[in-house]
Amino acid sequence: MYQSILNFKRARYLWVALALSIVSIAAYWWHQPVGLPNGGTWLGYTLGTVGAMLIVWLLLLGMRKRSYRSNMGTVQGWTSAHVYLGTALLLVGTLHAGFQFGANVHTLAYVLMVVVIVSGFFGIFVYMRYPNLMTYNRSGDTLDGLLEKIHKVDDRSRRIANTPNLSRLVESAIDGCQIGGSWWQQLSGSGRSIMSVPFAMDPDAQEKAQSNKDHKLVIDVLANRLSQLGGGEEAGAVTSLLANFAAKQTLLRRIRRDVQIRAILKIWLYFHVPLSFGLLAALIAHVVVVFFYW
Amino acid sequence: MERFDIAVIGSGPGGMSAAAHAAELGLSHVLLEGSPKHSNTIQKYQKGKHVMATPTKLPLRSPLDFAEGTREYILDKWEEGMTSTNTNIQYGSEVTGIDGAKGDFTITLANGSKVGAKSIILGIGVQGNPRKLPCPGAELEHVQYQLDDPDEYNGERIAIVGAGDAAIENAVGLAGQNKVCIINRRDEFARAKQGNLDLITSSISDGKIECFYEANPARIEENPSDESRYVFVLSTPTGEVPVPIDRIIARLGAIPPRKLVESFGIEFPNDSPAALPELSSQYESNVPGMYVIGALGGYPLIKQAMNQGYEVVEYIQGNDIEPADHPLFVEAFDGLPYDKSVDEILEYLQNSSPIYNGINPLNFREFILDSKVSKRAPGDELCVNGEFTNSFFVVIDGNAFVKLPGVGEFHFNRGDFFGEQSLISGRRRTATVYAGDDCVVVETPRRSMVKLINSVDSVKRVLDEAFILRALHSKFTPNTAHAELAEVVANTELRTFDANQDIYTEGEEGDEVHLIRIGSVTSVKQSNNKEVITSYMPVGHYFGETGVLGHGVRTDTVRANVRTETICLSKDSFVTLMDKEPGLQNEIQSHIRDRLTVEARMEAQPKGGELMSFLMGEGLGEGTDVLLIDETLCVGCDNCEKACAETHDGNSRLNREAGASFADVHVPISCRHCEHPHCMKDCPPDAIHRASDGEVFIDQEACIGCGNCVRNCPYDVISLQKNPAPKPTLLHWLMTGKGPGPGGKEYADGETIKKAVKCDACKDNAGGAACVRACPTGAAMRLNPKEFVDLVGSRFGS
Amino acid sequence: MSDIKPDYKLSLEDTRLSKRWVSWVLFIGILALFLIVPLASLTSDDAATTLRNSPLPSDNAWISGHLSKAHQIPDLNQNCQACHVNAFEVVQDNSCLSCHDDASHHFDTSVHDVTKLDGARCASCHIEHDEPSSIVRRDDKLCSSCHADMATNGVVDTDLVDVDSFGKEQVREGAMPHPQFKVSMLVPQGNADATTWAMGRFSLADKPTEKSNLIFPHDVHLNPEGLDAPQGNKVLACNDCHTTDDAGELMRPITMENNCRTCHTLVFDPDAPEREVPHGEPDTVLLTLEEYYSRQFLRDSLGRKPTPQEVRDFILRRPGGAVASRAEQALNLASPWGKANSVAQEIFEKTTCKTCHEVSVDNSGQHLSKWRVDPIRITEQWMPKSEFDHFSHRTSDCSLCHAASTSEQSSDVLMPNLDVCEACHTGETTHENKTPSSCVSCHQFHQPEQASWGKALEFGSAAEIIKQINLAGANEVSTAVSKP
Repeated sequence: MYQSILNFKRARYLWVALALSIVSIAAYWWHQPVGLPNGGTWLGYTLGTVGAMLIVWLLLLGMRKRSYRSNMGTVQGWTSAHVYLGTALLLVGTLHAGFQFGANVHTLAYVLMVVVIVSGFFGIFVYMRYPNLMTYNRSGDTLDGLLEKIHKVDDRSRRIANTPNLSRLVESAIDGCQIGGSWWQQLSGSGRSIMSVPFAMDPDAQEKAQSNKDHKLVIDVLANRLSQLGGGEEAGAVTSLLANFAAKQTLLRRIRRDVQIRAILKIWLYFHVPLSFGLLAALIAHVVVVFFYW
Repeated sequence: MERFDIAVIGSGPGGMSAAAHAAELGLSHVLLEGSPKHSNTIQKYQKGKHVMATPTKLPLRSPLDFAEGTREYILDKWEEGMTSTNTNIQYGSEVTGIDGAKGDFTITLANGSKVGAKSIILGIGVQGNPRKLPCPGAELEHVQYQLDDPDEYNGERIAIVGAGDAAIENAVGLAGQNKVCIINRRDEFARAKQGNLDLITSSISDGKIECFYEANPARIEENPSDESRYVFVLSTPTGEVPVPIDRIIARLGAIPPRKLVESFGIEFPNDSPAALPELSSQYESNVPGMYVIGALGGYPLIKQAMNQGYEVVEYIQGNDIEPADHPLFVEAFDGLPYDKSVDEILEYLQNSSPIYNGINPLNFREFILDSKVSKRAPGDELCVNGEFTNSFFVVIDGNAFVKLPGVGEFHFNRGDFFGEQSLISGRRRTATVYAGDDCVVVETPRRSMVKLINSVDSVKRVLDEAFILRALHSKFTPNTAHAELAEVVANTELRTFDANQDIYTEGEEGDEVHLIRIGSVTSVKQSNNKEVITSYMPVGHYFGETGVLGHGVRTDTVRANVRTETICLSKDSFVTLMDKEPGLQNEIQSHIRDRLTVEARMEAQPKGGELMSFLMGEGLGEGTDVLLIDETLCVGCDNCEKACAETHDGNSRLNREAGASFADVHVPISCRHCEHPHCMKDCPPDAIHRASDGEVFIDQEACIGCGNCVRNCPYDVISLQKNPAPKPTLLHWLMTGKGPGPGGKEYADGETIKKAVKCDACKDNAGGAACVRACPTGAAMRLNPKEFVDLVGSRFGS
Repeated sequence: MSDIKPDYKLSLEDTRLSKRWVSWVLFIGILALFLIVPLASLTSDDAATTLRNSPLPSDNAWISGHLSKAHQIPDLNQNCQACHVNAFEVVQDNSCLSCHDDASHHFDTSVHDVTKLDGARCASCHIEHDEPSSIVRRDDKLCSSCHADMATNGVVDTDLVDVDSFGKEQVREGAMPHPQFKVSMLVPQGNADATTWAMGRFSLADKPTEKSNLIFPHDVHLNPEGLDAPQGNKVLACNDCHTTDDAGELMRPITMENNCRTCHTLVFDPDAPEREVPHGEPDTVLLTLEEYYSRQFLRDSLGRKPTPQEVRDFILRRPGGAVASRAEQALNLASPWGKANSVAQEIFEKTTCKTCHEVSVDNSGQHLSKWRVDPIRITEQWMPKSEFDHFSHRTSDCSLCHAASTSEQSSDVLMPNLDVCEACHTGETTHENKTPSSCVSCHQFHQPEQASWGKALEFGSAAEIIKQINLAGANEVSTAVSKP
């Protein structure tokens, strides 16, 4: 029923790409140009035209993906073809160049093409691997749902805190807890968590902001506090708070992992897409230049 | 006690028109309106709502103006009209009882005063009045019975009274910017939908909303200390509790008008909630001197009601004028091969079929006006096999026929009808019907037919009998003449089962065979002390045959997924059928074999059964077209939502992330196009339709944004949305990133009109649903519940 | 949940990362750096030079491959427009001819209407920027594209036969294989007194014989048991006589002085082994002998050194002397003359000369000597239309190609035929470990000094030359050059 983009319609475009590759290789093998194989022979021009059209078509996926009314195939079909024909482009481009490289605009286009394709391979890899991990990590919840839970846990903590010091501790831990953040924080699955410990609980800390990474500090401080208290109302509150922050710790880990997986699923596009446009520019330059100094 | 010649109750379009016409004629009259404003239903339309004046060809007969325009424009025109005609309207005059007889009626009002009248015109509609707070202070200024836009209120203390969906939605909607408490007469929220229940309980536990359980309103007092407007005194098990409050919103439901109307002595033909009182052709009810017009009389359109108001006054005056819809009939009958007057044709039509026998002429008139009477060229396709259309056909003259492979043509002659299968089952057409020679047919839309079935018992009976006969014939004995089945049909009964009700259970004795005609069932087996779903059966499938052929002990439990109706055949009946059709036994044995194979497969994959139970539990059993997402493929790009928004006026009708998941199959919040759509149940402008391919969609032009469908949908797939402003082109966004991108939206200033939006499965797109087409990884797929078995097979398959 | 904490950044879209502006920067940046700026700089020479000398990419970044070595000179290396004169126009021949103004020897369309080459430019064959391939073509197609089917390619008026490629394995279906080799051999014309030498072309298939007038049996010289040489028994090897030129490619011409004389001395008197007759005209030989024997006579009869008066008498042969003394004198004088004559007869007709030369007797008395020796011309380069490098074949035994050890006659042509080469060589691509050899491995591209039209360029119109060849009457003669 469900098919991944690699299996789309029994890997229809794999066969198309293979056919294109085989034809290209056969033509290259059969072709005996004057001099070495290069872009300037008739086969070179042919492969170059095919390659350029492929590049433009591959770029059009961005348009097709957003042309929601389009009935020109399905986006999945396009993506499947994008993957396979993009891979075939590697071969077509290389044969077009006739394995001739140098420090010039032509090789720049080639290198950009290779980098774009390789980043695409990474994209396929993450698309194959991470959706599962994301599902397992979220285990039926949604990101909004998890955030909501955090919010509720925080509210509860605020209500439970029954001394000024506990309140300040809780407030500080909640305020200092950052979820998400910069692209690097999202990708690394970290998030800056800082807090300051009220003077009464830890005079050494001087109420300075300290790292509360993974909510260890707040849990440590609460556990400490509990060990100091013999019992009474505050002890009950601290016990509840400990449970609360432990719950929050677990939730946070899941949220951060979720954010991380989402970021991994997207980060490659931040290379793939801009480099594609770089490639387009290099391609335009390449084509103009080739005919400018014909 | 003041006395009038004519008392009009209810100031809807019909009532106002009647009163204004009476005023115009200088008759002694009064118009009694329970609320402080006229045209209650139309007042509830959203601001700026464009109201159509349909049917456009129907001439208007009323002293009041009515042409299409905004809600405000129309209300203003009526206001003007009543002023200029000097209509005597009394607001706040809720009628609680009527005594007396023609010429001397006494009308009792809620405030205790009485009004006398010779004739009474009832124009109270079908919406009913909102139930008022049963305590002193219920009429205070800031006590209201509806809420249009929660965003209008800020920083107030608001009490919501009620425990239904409307109350919960209002409370949650207001809680963001106001201090809200909810007053629940019971100790739980039993009547609410699951989603709303979750919403309110979490809001209460989070402290966002305060809840008074087992609390009844005692009284509302003006607050002398000025801290708040009022003090709302509640009586609770622990005594009275005063609550300072600025505004009270009571959502206690509406009082259905039927009881009130019945208390006036007017009779209804049956108990169906949709039944309408029987009226004469002059709108007079069984109580002489008491007339019914407008929606309560079966005429929901504004223009019709206004015309009736005019006509009914004329009738009371003794003028037998021709109804205003006369020209419509002249037009509708144009092209028919009859040289007869409109009334003669109507009579000819009504006499054509036994199904029309029990209908009173007034209702029939309306019925024919809703229907399409036409002469069809021989060979025309009247309905097409596989389509989801659900209109109903009666042959008036000539014939229509179906082609039965191997049998020949089956002809429908004068008075015969067809199309009842799709009408009743909510499923695709099972055959294509072609027009024969000289074919004249009446084609009636579902809504009119449902109204008719509910109003006239004989129609239901005739249809059911035909349904059973044809279902048995086509399913079991296609080669046997109809006449031979009469006995079996007579011994067959229809059984109705609620959702999740067991039709029979594993191990019990039983030898009846069920053929599903509405709903769907699943077959469940005990395996290792666990229930395993082994098959899913929609309409048209039969089960229980193993009990007949075997030793009479059920080998599985069959459970209704949704409200289900079956045609139940006794063992004897079934054996009779097998005797009549020599090939049937073999066929049934092969059917059993096929099912056993599927069941064995499902039993071998208990996880598959769990997945199936999950899908059924999500209510997908009553769907016809369900969006499912494979979580192993979904990368969370939300392109499906963007595609939905982009192809549907900027509002996505699906929420990908929300919704439940099981075994990597995710059920997003998205319409599953139920066989019997809950949303269609109560749509005042009849804006929700089913397309020929089964897509349930909302006609945006017609939608008045009342939110009934939103509340009626058990799956939360309908929402009220404003129309976003037009966006720059895609290329513009791709290059500049300015403005909302795909899936994003911005609203124009002052845009306030909200309308209900839901998935229409992209019925107008030849390529199919945009969400599926736009999914880059193939994670989104639309399935028919019948395909769930394949899905399970592909998930856990061998 | 926007209403809880709207400033959460949970998606990469919320961060400062951007696809769009990076795309723009890359797109515009690359376009500007590699296209627009270089293009703009070309509007003036100064700007172009400035840009080329800056680290920024100039139009030099457009180069599609290194220039060939020969073209890597400062004038060309950076200055694209030296050759690419007009934008969007292929490099014109004028650009090449501005340096290579003598490049006309490629072909002469006035001789052959080579339709194949209509519209051909220099750059059609000389592909620049295609390192490491050479700008000079070496592939078979260079030749075979015309020579495989010359009639179709517009060359009708020619003696050349069609050839597709070398190596019997490489010949495509329907195409012509390499023809059997032809040797260019000198053929004597006229009589011994007035011999001219014409260069004739003979296919080895016809087993031609050489007529150099030299008598030389290779088998005798290569007798593995050795020869009686003046120094004693000596076993000769090929390279005792045949030595290559300085480049090691071709064999030096065989001469009497260099190659034969060591063994074949011209001694005529065993008592005077130091004395030899000159290797020259028969008259000179006879004179040398007469002079030798006259001197011998004088010394023997006097027994002493003659007085000046005796020498005067002897040489002046004074008339009017006494008869007796005159007769005595004549008798005395006849003795050395006779001796010289008989020795001459011996060496001309029996020994020294006769060993290698064809000698005839002419009694017409026109010459001092009655013996006539036929002139010898040994063909020096048998296959002038090909290049052959003996050096690169040095590891092979000579006999692999030249059947000298069994050759009894000097008329034997010992040049290897096509089969011999094809035993080790094949066409452009290797086959069964044979050495790949393209056309230009052996043939130069239209060597002007060998092509008929090439001569025409040097000596006159081609038609004229062809006419001469036809007049010469020899079918196989393609070149007739009279050597002094």
